[in-house]
Amino acid sequence: MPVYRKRRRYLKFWIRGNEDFSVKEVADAIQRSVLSLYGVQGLSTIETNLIDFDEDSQSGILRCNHGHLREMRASLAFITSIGESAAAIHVDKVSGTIRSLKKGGETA
Amino acid sequence: MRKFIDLHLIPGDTDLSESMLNEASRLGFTGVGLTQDTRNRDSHDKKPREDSLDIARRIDLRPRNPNELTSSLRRVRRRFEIVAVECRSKPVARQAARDHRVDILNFPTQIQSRRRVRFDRQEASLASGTNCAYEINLSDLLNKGAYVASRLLSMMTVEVENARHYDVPVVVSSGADEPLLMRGPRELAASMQLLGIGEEESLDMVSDVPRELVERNRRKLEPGYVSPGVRRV
Repeated sequence: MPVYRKRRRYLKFWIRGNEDFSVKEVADAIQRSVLSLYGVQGLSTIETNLIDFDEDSQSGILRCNHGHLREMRASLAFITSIGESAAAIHVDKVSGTIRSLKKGGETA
Repeated sequence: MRKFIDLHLIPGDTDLSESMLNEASRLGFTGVGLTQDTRNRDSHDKKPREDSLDIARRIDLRPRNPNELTSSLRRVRRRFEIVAVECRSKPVARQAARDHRVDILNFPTQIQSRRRVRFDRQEASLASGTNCAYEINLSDLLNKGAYVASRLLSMMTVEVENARHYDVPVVVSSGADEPLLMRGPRELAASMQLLGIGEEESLDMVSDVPRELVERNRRKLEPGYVSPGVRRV
């Protein structure tokens, strides 16, 4: 029996800001941006999820629904602050699996 | 592979422009339009860059009336690769759309002003005759409250429809005056989804449309150029 498997997109991103941010601050900022642009319904369909974030390098991996990659990118583009400090999130690479993202993956 | 160009960077000083150029290169742009004023216009012209970032000289004119626009154009057209006009009043907007020397039209970001001066059908019709582009700056939408951003988005959606109806080229730029306001090319393109623009079309607005604009103007600035298709040999 065929089983429906959700397709995902994984985005490797890095943060430019004047200070370092914690995982919680980054996750909050991403969620707030999606909410303000697309609302609660958008948040549920985009299925954004912060998979990994390295506080030392200020870079991480984010997951979203593969059909809503543009919405995810637009939401990231509209982030101008994280916590109380000005910041920007830039997408480095996009891939269908975390493994290929870490290997190389599609260039942003 | 697409070559992306951010046609509107507005660094205040030389240090900032260097960091913005480095950021543009890191974000994946192959070219930028660097807004300069008439005094510091040569600061980046002669320096070859390691990252081979193509820098186009740009000037943003803010004339108060059509006469001021015409005299400014006469002064700057041969010195800059891109001439943009910020249309603060309707007469200026109409004159700018009519003038072949203008490359890009910009409109106010304040809602009240935008209601008075906007890229309406008449403006689009005039701009299509002169091949003048309509520019969307993402920075206009950032750091705005929800109400202002939503009003601007709805106005811009109508303006983009007008531009499409009259085949006016649309350019998407960051309009950043600091590195933190710069965004990657695919993020700029993805943001255009909010204006109802499809994926391929929005990617063209950050790549092919600005590239053609810069190339066309560079050909015009070459010695011997007379008019489209005519060169002095």
